[in-house]
Amino acid sequence: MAPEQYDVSGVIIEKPSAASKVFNAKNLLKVISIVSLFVLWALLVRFNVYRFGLLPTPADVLTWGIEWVQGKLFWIDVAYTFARVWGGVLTACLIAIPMGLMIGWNKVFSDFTFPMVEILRPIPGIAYIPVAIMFLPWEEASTAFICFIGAFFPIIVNTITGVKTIDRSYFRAALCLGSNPRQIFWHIVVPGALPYISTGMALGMGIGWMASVAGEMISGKYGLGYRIWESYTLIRYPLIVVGMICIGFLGLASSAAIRYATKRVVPWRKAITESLDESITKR
Amino acid sequence: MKFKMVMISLLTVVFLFSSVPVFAQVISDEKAKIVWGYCPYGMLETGVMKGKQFWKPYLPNVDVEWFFGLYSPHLVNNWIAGKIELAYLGNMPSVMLRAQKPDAKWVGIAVYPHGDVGAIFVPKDSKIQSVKELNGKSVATGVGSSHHRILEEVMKQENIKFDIMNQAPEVAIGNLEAGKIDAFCYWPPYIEMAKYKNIGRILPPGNLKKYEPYVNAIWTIMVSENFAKKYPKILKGLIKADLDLHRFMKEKPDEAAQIVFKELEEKMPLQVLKASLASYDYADRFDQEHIDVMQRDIDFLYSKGFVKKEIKAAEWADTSYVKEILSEKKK
Repeated sequence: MAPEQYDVSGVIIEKPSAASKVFNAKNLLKVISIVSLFVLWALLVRFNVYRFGLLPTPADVLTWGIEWVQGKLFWIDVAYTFARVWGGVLTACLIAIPMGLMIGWNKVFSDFTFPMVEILRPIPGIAYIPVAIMFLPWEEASTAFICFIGAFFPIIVNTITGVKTIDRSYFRAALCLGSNPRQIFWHIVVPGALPYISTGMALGMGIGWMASVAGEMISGKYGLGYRIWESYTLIRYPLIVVGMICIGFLGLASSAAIRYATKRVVPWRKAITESLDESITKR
Repeated sequence: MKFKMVMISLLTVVFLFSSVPVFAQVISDEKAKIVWGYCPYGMLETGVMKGKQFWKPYLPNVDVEWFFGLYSPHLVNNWIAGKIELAYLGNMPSVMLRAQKPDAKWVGIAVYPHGDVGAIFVPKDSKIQSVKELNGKSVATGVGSSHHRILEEVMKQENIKFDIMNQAPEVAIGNLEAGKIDAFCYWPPYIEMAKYKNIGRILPPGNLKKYEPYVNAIWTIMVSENFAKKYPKILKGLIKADLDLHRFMKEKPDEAAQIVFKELEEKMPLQVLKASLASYDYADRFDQEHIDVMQRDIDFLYSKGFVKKEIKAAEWADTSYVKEILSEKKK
């Protein structure tokens, strides 16, 4: 189907068809990239390059993957991990975003809370496992807490950075126009920080998925991370790789969902990322 | 002067005669450095082997580099990665190793608990008073471990059903304390540790001997075919040393506990170690009885789909080393 053409003020704009949006050189390159990864993996295992011979082949992984996906257990695992990660990340958003806005905007609040954040930030999520077990009364909350910890710090740090990078002239202009602190907060601080908040949320989501494996060490029954640990103790390497791939794809989809949602909520972020994309393409 | 000469001669004769059995014990004077996998927390007696170096009289030139694993599956994974070829392992991890590496030989029995493999532990304020009351509750253990099989056996014999949670012992202790699970079932020293911390109590009848012979377990000595071919005499010496270790563990339990206490850098209370070691037992032979126990484990793992290959314990077990040592002893 030929692309539609519009004549707007003498400029011909071509609107690509749905098919050409999917089947284009850019996407083909992406597919080739993924296929190359699998081919490289198969070759490294086949010819036992370095210690790759110890890994399962893509064919083994595919066989185990098909078997697992066909069973009910896979979907239960996905549902559990999905709920834990999203639960943890959304809770992190609810706490980290307001806290980050306040730290970035209010000097006294910043002096009081930021040192605590900086002390807790380098501690890896896995170190919180004993605390999570003892502190939280429900099994699911303990697991989601590890994802929460993973997501919390990138979100709060990005939120703080978002507030700090707002052009100071906006604040001066608002003050000159007689805005009160509440108006400044809602009309300058929040929208000004949103592009960074959305980046922090996408990063936090990725780290939340990374933390799921550590968090589900304590779950004892279901979850993709749990299944990876179980497969390690039961020496089922293909299933470990299947679990890793699933986490990779679900993490990718979750981050993409956040990016998509924030594009809608923060249209001015789109302008920033598009200009970045352009500069990358030009280079 | 004459008296002095007589005394020196006498002392020399005494020294020579007393040394003869020591020299006669040497199985190989080959110089070698071997790597031996062990789990000193889960298999306490391996710490005694490390501390007392029982192999030295038989293999004076063999140095052992101990490869630490928190649990047997860590050692199995390292074995598959080619980092070790000799290890003390739990029975189920031994089967999993054999399923992955058909050249892994089962050459000895480290521990044979005769049903005294552990107990079911509940929180101290739990209303559960008997195994029957576990029906519908959650019980933590290591999935794929011998205790998993034992719990399934308990469910079968008691005609009950409970939810098995797969947790590491240290995680389960915390979860039991926090009231997130109803019970757990692990191997020593975790039951004794939980008792020591006073977080709960053992369900009657105390241990799981009631369900014997189905609850027996074996901890193995596993070696690769390659190692056995390369160092046949050294392997014999190591198995002989392990049999000496069994004798020592039975005869001097307090000294053994002290050695383990030091090996674990005093991180585990001495009384926990003493109580744990008291529940251990050892086999001074290697025969059909042990092979049958292992076959039950293999069948369980196969039925659960944890191993994909059917393994025959009789074909896997290599009893020749133990038998040779025992026949030499008789002579």
